[in-house]
This record gives sequence, C-alpha cells and structure tokens, in this order.
Amino acid sequence: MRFLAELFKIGYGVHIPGEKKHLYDQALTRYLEPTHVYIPLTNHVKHSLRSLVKVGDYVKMGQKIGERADNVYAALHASVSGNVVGIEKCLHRSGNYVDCIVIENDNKYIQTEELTKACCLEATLSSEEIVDKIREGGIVGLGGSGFSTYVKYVSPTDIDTIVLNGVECEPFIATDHNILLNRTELVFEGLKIMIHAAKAKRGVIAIKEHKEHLYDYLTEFAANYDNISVVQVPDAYPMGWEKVLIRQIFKKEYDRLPADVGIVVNNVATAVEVASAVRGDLPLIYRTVTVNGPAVNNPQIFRVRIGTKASELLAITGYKDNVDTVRLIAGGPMMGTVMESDDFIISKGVNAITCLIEETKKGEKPQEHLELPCVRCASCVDNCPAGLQPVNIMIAAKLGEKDTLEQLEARACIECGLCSYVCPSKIPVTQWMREGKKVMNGGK
Amino acid sequence: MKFAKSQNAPSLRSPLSTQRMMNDIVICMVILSVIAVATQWYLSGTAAGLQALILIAIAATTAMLTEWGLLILKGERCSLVEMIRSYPVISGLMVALLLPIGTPLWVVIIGTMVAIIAGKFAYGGLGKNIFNPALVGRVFVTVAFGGLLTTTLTGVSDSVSMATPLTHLASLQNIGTQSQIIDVYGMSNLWLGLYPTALGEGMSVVIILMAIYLIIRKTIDWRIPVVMIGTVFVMTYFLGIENNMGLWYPTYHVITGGLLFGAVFMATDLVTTPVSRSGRIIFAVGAGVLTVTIRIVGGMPEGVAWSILAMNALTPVIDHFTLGRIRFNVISTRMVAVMATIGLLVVTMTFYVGATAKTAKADAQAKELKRQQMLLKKAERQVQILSERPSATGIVYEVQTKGFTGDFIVYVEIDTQTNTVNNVEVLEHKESMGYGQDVIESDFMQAFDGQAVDSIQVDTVSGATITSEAIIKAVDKAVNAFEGE
Repeated sequence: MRFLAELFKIGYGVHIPGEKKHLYDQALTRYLEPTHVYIPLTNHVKHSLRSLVKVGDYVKMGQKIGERADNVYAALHASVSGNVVGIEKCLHRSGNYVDCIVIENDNKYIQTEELTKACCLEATLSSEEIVDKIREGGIVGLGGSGFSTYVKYVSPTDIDTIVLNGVECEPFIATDHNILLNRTELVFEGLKIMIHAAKAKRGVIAIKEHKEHLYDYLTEFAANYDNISVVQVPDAYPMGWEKVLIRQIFKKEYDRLPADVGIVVNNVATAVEVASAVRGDLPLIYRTVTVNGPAVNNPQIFRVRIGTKASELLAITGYKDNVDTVRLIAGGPMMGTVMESDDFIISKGVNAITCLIEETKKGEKPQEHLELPCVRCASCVDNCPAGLQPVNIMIAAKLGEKDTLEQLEARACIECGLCSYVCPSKIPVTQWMREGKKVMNGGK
Repeated sequence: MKFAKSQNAPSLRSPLSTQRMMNDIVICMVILSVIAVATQWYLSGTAAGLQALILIAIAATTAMLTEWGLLILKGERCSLVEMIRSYPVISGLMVALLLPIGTPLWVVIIGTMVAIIAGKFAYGGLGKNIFNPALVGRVFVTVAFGGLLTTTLTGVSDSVSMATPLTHLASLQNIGTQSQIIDVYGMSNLWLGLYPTALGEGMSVVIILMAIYLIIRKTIDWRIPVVMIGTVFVMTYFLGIENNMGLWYPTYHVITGGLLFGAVFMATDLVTTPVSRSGRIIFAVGAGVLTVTIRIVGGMPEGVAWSILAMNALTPVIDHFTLGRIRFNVISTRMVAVMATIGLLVVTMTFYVGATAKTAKADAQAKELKRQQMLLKKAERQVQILSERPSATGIVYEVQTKGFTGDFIVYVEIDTQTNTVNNVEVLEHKESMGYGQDVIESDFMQAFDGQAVDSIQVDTVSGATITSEAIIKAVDKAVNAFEGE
C-alpha cells in the first residue's frame, strides 16, 4: 500500500533555495517613527471598510478608525497619534490603489485609555471574551492571508490541536524566524491563549528542518508548557500552506477548512498579536517585515507601524549599484504581487518586501525566461500540492470548457505558483489557473 | 530606481528547463550513436563502421532539414535557432538507431522524413503530436520496405550472418533450452549488443546506465520504464517457469528486441504519454502486455514499436479516464476499478500467451518428431562400414553414418582382448551448432567407452536425436561387424 501511495503520490512540494540564511541572526531594525502613516481602508483585496474618522480629527494611538460590519468583522486602528490630514488613494499590496486614512504623526504616541489600563490575565477570561478581544484588536492572519483571525475561534467544535505555522516556505522571507527567536515568550503565550479560546488539547509549532539552533531553542522553551511541542517539516514549497502542513504533520486531509479535522492553523506572528491583544488590549498596529532579495543592498528585518510606506524602508536598505530595474514584490516571490512603485503601504498582510533584479545596468535580465511550447511533461501535475492537473486546466481554460474545468476542480487551486515554477517550458501556468477560475465564474 | 511593470506571480522559476531535458536526450542519442558505430566497426570491420556513421549522419541531417523546410513553409518561425529548439535531431537519431545496418540510405531518408512530416508536423509540431515521431518513421519503413531492412551489409564479406535474437526465438516457437536460445549469442554479447539488431537497440548495459542518469536528472519518469519492463519480465517469467526455463528467459526478453531502448527513450516521450501518474502506469503496463503478446502470439518478433504506438493512440483515452483531482489518503473507486482491470488484463494475457506458446511448441515438436523419424529411417539405410584396420589393442572400424546435415564418419575402436568398445570418435562433421555439434563435443562420446560389445546401452540426446542416433547406429554397425567375424 505504501508502494502504491508512492506511485500515485500527491505533491508535498518542491525544494526552492531559501536565500535567507544571512537574515537568521540579524537583529531587528526598529523603524517606528514615520512622519505619516497611511491606513488602507481595506481588509482583504476586495472589501473596503468604513472610515470612523474625518479629515481634521485628532486620533490617539490604538484608536479604532475604521471597521467593516457585514458578515466578517474587521477593524482598523491608528498606529500613531496625530491629526487625520486626508484620505488619499495609495498603492496597496493587492496592486490596486485604495483609499487610505492619512495620519500625521505628532510623535507623542498618546495612547487610548484601554491601552493605558492595567493588563488582565487571560486565565480569568472566557473563550468568548478572548475571541472578542481578538476581533476588536483587528487581528488578521499575518502570514500573508490577511484573513480575520477571530473567525477561526467563533464557536469552535472538537478542535484538538492549534498549529502555529512558522514554516515560511517562500524564499527570501525570515519574518517568522525572527519572531520565533526574539519574541518567543509572546509566541508561546499567544498559542496558550489560542488553545484556551478554541478549547483545544494541544499546540504545535511547526518550523522547517535544518534549523537546529532554532529547534533546540524552541524545544527547550516548550518544556515550560505541558501541551506545546515543536515539529520540523521538510524544507519544501508550499509546506506553509495549511493543507500541505496538516498532510505532512498529521497525515490528514480535509476538504474545506482545517477545523474539519479538528485543527486550527495560525501564523506565529498572529500568535504574538493575539497575546498582545488579549493581555494588553493592544490592537494590531505593528508588524514585522523582511526586506530581502538579490536587488537589496543591505537586507534587513524591520519592526514597523502599520501604514508605513515601503519606500521608507527601501531607502534604508538601498538597492545594489548594478541594478537598473527592480522587480518589487509585496510578499514573497512565489505568491506576492509585483508593485509598480515602491510607494506602497505596508498593510497588515505585508510580511515581506522582495526585490528581484529585473534588469541590470549591463542589460542582463535574470528574470527573463524563454517560453517554449508545452510538451506535456506533467511536471505541474506531479508537483501540484492540491493534486490538480494544471496542464489540463490550462487547456480547458484556453478552450473555455466550463464543464471540464468543473471536473478538474480548478477552484481548488490556491495559486501557490508552483506549477509556473516547475514548468520546464516556462509557461505561466499559474496565470492559466486564474483564467480557468474566471471561465468557471462565467467571466470569459 | 525603475520598477518592473506589473507581472503575475510567481516571480521565480526553477532551473529545470525543457531545453535541458531535450539536451539530455540528445546527449544520450549521440553517445548511443558513437557506440553503435564502434560496435559495427568491432563486429564487421571498417566499412560497416563507416556505413553506420553515414546512416546516422544522414538521418540526423534529413530530420533537421525537413523540420527547417517545414518551418519556413509554415512561415511563422524560420530561424535556425527555432529549428534547433524544435529538436528534430532527436527524432532523426532515434530513427537511425532503430534501423539495422543493412538499411539502404534512401530508405533511411524516407523514414526520417515520414517521422518529421507525418509523425510530428502534421499535428502542429513540437508538443502537439499524438504518436512518437521516430516510431512512426520506423514502422512506416518496416511496412513499406521490410525486406530491405537487413542486419547484414551487402558487399562486406565477413559481416555476421545470423538471425536477430527474437527471430531466432520465434523459430523455436519461443520455447527452448538455454543452450538453444542464449548460447547461440552468448549472454555477455547479449548484454553488450554484440549481435545482429538495429544499430542502437542492443547496448543494454549502456541504455540502463542512461536510464539511471535520466531518472536522476528528472528528465524521464521512472515509472514508465520500470513498469513496462517489469510487465514484460513478469509475463515472460511465468511463461518460462511453465516450460522449465530459468531466469535467463525473461532476461532474454528484456534485453533483446529493443525493449530497453523503447521503454527508456520512446515510451517516456513526454508529449505522447499520459499526464497523470496513474495514467502513465496504465500506459506502461499496456505497452508491456502488448509487447509480449505481439512477440509470442502474433508472428512479429519486434513488438515494442507497435505496442508503444498503440498506447500512444490510447493516451487521450487514458488521460480522459484519469482526469480530475487526486486526493491524499483517498484511493478512488475509479482508480481501484482501473487497477483491478489492469491486473486482470495482465493475468489473463499471461495465461493466454502461455497457452498459445505451449500449443505452438507442441505442434512444432510433433512435426519435428515426424520429420526426424522419417530422417531416421532414411539414415538407417545409410550406415555402412568403409574400412577396418587393426590398431594397437584391437580393430578400428571406419563407419559412415547419416547425421542431421549430412554424412559424417565415426571411428569405432574395439578391444579384441576384452571384447569392449575402446573409443568412439568423430573427426569431421557439419552438424549444427547448438545441436549435433554439442553432442559430438560432449560426454556423450565417452558413454560408449568400456562397454561390452554384447550389451551396449547408450541413450539418445534429446534435442539432437538425429546426431546421437547416427552415432549409436554407427557403433552398432561396427559391433555387429566385429561379432560376425
């Protein structure tokens, strides 16, 4: 049976060189005093939020300034204190220009009353109260999804394990690594709170293998908690996708949500913010961002206020001298969106800024690939972590065959980008997956 | 700083490229070509080596020129680089390596052109063809000019004149002893490709090494060669056991007839095989079953080319049945049904092939027995004493007897003191290799020594009844003559 499984095995991912070892021991650079912050009035890519302030208002740090109150709640908070000086359209990580509340930093960092109050102990809180705090804190998945965290903890049923995802499978990103190393206690406390909120039995922190130092350190730390353990997973992409992660650790498969098999997955950075929100009523106003890539002169990991402009960080790191054109990506190189300017906002979901060399001053184009005809090599089929057949989806998308696309379950694609990555003919297969979904939605 | 215009994720690409995969295959084909030339040189001399070189060069050139001409006609791309990127050289070299040394050069040109035009371009070029182009070319020339594809080179006196291994096997109705089948060629020669076959098909050891290299480089999927060869091995293994043949029998099937070449280089052709893993396994099993069936049930010794082409034709069907999403830990009922059908197919075909082979062998043996009996009767009349002369210890009779391929002379020495046979010897004969010759060179000749003239008891050797009978008859004749004195 094992042999049969090997014969038909579904992809667990592919090793992609990480290019981030140099960041593992790097100290965090604090960049916390921007002159202005730009809080985008959007949660996900599509949904816009309602502004609770108007131009001319004075806001305190941590004050709720925007919310969305339809089916999924989301909240925005001021990350500095100062006057609201306008609502401007700014470049967002989605690649679109969205309305942002612009706050002029008065450098006083006057906190809201809740923030100045003494901290409470989460042990005395009920599960509902914790979920409420996570919700009001505007906490979203910080691994890149930007999905509201509280949703996973509303009326949890039969949750057995909380998995903290510190895998960070995209190349160039070391945000989670840095958080695990420097904010270890908050990570464990956050996990403890999550276990409590979900009435789960245990927590697991997942990191990549071959990080002996980090593993030993975390294992030692976990000894203080009786129900938290650390596991290592293979260095492959997309190991950080919760479906692959659960398949790897628990040998379980689910269709819709991890909760179907009694598991909740959150990013390690999210755990830190959960701990801050629950223990100190601190809403999500900071985040950690990796700035890395071959075009970056001095790669660093930053702690910034939400709403800081990326250009300010890139001014600190600088670009390499020989670079003429940069491919600037909000996020990692596999799933991140290419930005047309460095003047974009670091919103809650921006975990990294990746700078690849598009063209050097000598005219070399390392990102340029010659596209050849598809030879049906099926590399995309062999490696798809969702078990799909991208080559067939591509053909069906080109032909506009809705029924075939249904049969191929094209919607199950998460656009991890692996099919494009492995394609030896350098065909943008992932783009065809998106086209396929459009065809299915009748958008052709 | 300038920024790249919006591009779609992902921004990274793996180093593995189609060019690299194709180059790997080209490298393998070139190495095989060099070895093929060297082998012909070694087997049949300079002229044969040169002929092989010319044949391969012509096929490669024809393929490239044809592709280029077609691209120019098509009008879209016509640069030399574009032509090379379409990799016609692979098809050209494969056609050459699939042809025997005696193929006329004009047939090579036609075969290669058919491969490129009908096998590849008619469907729209690289990536769109249904059948493996090289096989289309090879099969076309087999059908059209089959008689011209000889493994001997006319005009070269010392070229090897021998049947190809599978033709030889077919002449034995696929069943025989190790000495009848293997020893005709020699096991090491079979592994090294030193026997008459297509130019590039024989070098089993080299092809296996190349397969390992290509699998490690992820250029080919290991499933296809392993499963296809495995299927042939398993089916012929059971056929072998059924007829008291050892492991050498399935091995012979695997290393001859171009199975390794086909399974490693042609059945793994990316374009013409299914995209799903389960589909590729179905493909490989099907090709294996068909190969064995064509070889043993159908009269055709070379089943590999046809079976791969047949499975190429079935690829869209296999793709259709394996369409959809696979899920970890879930084996779908459809998959179970497909695997069960395949298993049943293999088992049924193994039995069917086995039964067919057995019947054919029994028929042939019955016929052979009849023929031998007739020959035996004829032979009895033809045993006569030519001379007798005294020796140191007795008398030597010179007896002429009738063997399988003609008359030969047996010297029988009888000890007059002890009335026993002293020595039986054959000095010159034309008996066939693997049969009569083995008898004459074996212990059989010593079996007479020391036996009393009035009670000689020696059994005939099965598989070489005529020769052994002829010798026994000669001894009887001599003994009768001695006792009559």
